[in-house]
Amino acid sequence: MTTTITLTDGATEDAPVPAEKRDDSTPLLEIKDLKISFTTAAGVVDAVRGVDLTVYPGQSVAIVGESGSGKSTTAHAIIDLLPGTGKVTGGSISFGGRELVGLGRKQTEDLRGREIGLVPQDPMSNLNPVWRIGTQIDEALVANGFQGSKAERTARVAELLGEAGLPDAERRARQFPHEFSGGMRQRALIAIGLASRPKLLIADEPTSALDVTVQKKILDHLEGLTAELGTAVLFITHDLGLAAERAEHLVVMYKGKIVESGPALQILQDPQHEYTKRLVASAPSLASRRIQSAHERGLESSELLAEHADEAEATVPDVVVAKDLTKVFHIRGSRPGSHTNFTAVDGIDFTLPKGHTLALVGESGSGKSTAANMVLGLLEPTSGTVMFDGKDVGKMSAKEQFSLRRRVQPVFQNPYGSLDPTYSIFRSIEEPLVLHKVGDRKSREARVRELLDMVSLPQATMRRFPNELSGGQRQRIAIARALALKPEVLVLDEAVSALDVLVQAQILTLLNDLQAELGLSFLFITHDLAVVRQIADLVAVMKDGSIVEHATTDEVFDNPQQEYTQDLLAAIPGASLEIGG
Amino acid sequence: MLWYLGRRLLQVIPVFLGATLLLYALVFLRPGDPVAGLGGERGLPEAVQQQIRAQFHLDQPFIVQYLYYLKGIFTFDLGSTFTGRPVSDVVVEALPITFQLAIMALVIETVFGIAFGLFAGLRKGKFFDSTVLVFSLLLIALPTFVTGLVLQIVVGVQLDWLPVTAGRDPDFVSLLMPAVVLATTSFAQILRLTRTSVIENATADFVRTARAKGLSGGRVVNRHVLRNSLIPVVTFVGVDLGNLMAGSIVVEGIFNINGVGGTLFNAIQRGESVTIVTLSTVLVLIYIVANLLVDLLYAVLDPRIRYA
Amino acid sequence: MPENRYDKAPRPGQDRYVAAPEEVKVGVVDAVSTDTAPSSMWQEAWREMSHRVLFWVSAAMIVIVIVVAIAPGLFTDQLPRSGCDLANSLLPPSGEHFFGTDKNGCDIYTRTLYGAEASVLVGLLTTTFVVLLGTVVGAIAGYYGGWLDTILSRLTDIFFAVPFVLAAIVILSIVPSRSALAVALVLASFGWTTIARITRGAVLSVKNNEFVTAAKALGMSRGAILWKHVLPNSAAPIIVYSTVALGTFIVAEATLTFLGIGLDPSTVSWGGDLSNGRASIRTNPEIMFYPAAALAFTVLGFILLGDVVRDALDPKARKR
Repeated sequence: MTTTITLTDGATEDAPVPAEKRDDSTPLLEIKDLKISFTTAAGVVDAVRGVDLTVYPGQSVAIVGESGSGKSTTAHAIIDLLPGTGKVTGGSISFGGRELVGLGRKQTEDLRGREIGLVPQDPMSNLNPVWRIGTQIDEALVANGFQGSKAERTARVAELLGEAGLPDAERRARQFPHEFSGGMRQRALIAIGLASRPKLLIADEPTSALDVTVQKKILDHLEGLTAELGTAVLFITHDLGLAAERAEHLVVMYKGKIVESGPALQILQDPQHEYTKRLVASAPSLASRRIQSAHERGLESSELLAEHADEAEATVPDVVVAKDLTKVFHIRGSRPGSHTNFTAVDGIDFTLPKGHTLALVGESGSGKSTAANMVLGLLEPTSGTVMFDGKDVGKMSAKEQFSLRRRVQPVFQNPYGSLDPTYSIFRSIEEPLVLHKVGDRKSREARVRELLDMVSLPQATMRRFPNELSGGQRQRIAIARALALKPEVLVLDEAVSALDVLVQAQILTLLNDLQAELGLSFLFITHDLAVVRQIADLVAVMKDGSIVEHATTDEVFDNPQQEYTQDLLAAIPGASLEIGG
Repeated sequence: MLWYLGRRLLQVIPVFLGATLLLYALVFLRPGDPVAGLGGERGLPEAVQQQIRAQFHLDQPFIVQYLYYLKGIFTFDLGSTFTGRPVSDVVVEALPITFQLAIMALVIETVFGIAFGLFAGLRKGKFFDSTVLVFSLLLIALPTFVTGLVLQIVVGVQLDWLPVTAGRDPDFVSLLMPAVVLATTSFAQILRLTRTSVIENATADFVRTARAKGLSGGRVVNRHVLRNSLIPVVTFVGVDLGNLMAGSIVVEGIFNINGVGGTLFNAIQRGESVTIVTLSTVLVLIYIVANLLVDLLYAVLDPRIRYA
Repeated sequence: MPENRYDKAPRPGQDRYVAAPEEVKVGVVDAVSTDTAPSSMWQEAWREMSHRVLFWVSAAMIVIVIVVAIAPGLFTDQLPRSGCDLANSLLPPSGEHFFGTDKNGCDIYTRTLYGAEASVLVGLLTTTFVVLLGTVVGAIAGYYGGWLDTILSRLTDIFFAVPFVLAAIVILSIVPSRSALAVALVLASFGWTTIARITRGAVLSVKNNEFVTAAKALGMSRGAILWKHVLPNSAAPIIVYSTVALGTFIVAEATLTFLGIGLDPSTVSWGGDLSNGRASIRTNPEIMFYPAAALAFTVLGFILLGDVVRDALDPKARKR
């Protein structure tokens, strides 16, 4: 469609447009009909199939899509950093009027960092563990022609780190990545990305590995910084709410193609394509926002949600009651003899009424999973009690505890770790039945088939192995296994957090259906308040081992009492958006 | 760093005690009475036997004998060889030669192993890479003494490029062939290890970030790919020092080098078990110390260890 | 949040665009693919291996060596010891003696064939002992942790501090009988540490998997979890290492025998023949060629197989 402009190497040599003479009316980045494919053992796979994209100077644009949509591939193609066998097979990428496809190695190296910066996705793996943070920023300065002595560079490094929002920057610069928290590393990566004042910053899921409150702080900071510097930002994200909040122009990608693009708010309020519609309907941040705004208009939130148990809470007995639950871990220090006591859970109380969903919400390190493990009987409480159906679990005999296992079952976060890869699906689901001596071989097989039906998977799946299934399918199998013994309570420990938006919505619907059908009670552990809005009746917000707020979902969302809860709510991406219900 | 060093030194103590105890127990449990066997066919008179037993503390319980043996190690009194020479004298004379040989081999295997491995890893799947991979497996499959004998025949006898044996006071040239032989297997293994970690690191996220910063290809390879790939190589070299020790026995034996290994080789050929045990103990002690040094180097290379 | 950002009119190239529904078809979310036959991890590893030439080459090499080791009489009608005649000393290759004869007048071809047994036997026995001991120690240390781990790991460190060939030299210098079994036991007594460390590491990484926690939550006993979930998932690195280690142990035996401290001189072995041949290295170096080649062939077979198995079992290696 578009003719690829090829310039001779000499003509492109070092010809950046000066920032002060920036012309905001001509596009900074213009991608036309970009095609990228990978060569695998199975043949050529087209990852990107004709993408158009325009970014103006100083503008922020977001590409939204699920994993495998080709959004990151598109972004990496701009700076010629496609992984493995990836190759641009067609189209053009023009940056400041200069064609980037087919650009020489030297020219590409000059472009990177100096003209186009990158803030990568995972702060844990994107810094080299063997070099000091300062050294890694210094490298970026030297590579991009920073003129100055060693001392001037050191000063500049500290300045950049400070600018990225790291206090005590001079000392921090001398530390190694493993001494940094995730949020601090992400700030260091932002400092690297902006070190040489690029005109365009590619932010590839820059905060998806971080806690929501940290994510919000960093994104706010990044927004302020790029606005001040006049840097254009290309966001790559799976979160439609986040994209709409941070960018003015949205591009929605699906299976290597653009399904819809346009002004952010328009797309959100009036999605046209079938896929965008689904995405808008499923994104937890948007869904919770929609429920909330509808609720504010006076509608009962329960009417907007999928089937829920009856609201007559006073008459419903509590199936799980935790009283003054405490867990202290003894941590061995690096120095001989140095031990510290770490109180992971500090005297919490909560109740889970029969047939309801209680969400334990908190950021990493809040103690929510430790609390869940105590309910599951996997950890012994240091003090306090867990009562199940009125009986103290701690005082049960070994035999009683074993039969209690049938009544409380877990589903975990990581769909890749929750099934034994050496077991067939049938064996995985059958295992609890065998262990608890339920039925004979024939009746067990019938039960496995029934369970697969319940989680909407074909019965033939039982002959397969976990490595052949997707994350969402594995999570369904994990749910089927948890349901095998007809438990009363499911502990869902971040059970949907690792899944793509649409799959996540699907699993949440499934869980809601199962609850209505089987009268299950859910203890739902999550870091994501947005999801809570969709599934929970009651919320307990945890911070540093304590419950800071425990109320019904409506109360927590309408009238948060604690500042921390308010922060969490404000940090839901898209919280500030005005979208129709 | 100091804490790491201190902890690492503390860890050596049980290993040292355990290893020496183990070796000593092996000798102690040996069947037959060492003293009764002295003095040929007729044996020594009972009184003399008693006297020898008392002199060498053989009448004491096992643990006391072990403590005397430990004292011997610390005072560098390692007993004497079959011919009556103190073992410590032999060690003092032989150790420098063994060190020279070992260091030459270490340099050869690491320099060439890392260079070939890096080159192959960066050109994964290309002709050079595939060739080097198959060739390295061949080298690993060849026992050291076979490589030694082959090189002796080909390079030493038939081509007559390098001396066949080293003899007394070997110089650099005469140690070259033994050093190459000693290095062969480890060279191939270091090559493969370097290649694997280069490939792994080349696709690591932090390398992509380094490229995105605008670093030139050479700097990315040097400072990020190669630097990080050295960590597993150093770990391997530490573990492999044991093979180097065993290899030195064979190589020094074949090439007639008067190092610790060569002396041990001759002792084995002559069946002098006392000398065998003492010299092996010396090698084990060197191995423990060398491993400690490698661990420190490892800590220098990897800050995560240093500060853990 | 600058709200006015959303009020701007779209700029050129940023107009509203909606793909035609038929252009991008939205499929069922998360459909199960039914077009392939079910296959387990092991089946996939097997498929991966069976496509590689090197696998079949190494398998063929190993089969040849094992057949020769079990029944050397199939390939020669001469005998390695009693067939020797000093009158035939150092004959060149001929129709009767394919590889010629050695100093003692023994047929080199026959001795090379008969030498396979000792190498293969020591290699297999040592590997068996090492895998049994190392897996038990490593699995217990890694799985049960705590003081048990501390004790077993320190013990492993101590045995690891003595290079196993050195230890073997010390022990063999004092044991009276040096049969294949004795040599294998001696090699194994200090050779188990690496596999213990590998097993411990594998068990440690597997035991924190969520499927292990799920089994715990079902009320499964610790022993059953170790046996049914943890060990099967730790098997891959153990299998890879033992294949390569088998080759290493054959080398170790040959080295020890060459040094004169391994198998009894009466046993027909490649190491022993190489040691004997060394006496005439300047005059008849070709005598040593055949046992050396046989040794290298055998070891190469196992090392090649180990390499192929590693590629198939290690998903990280497979991607490359």
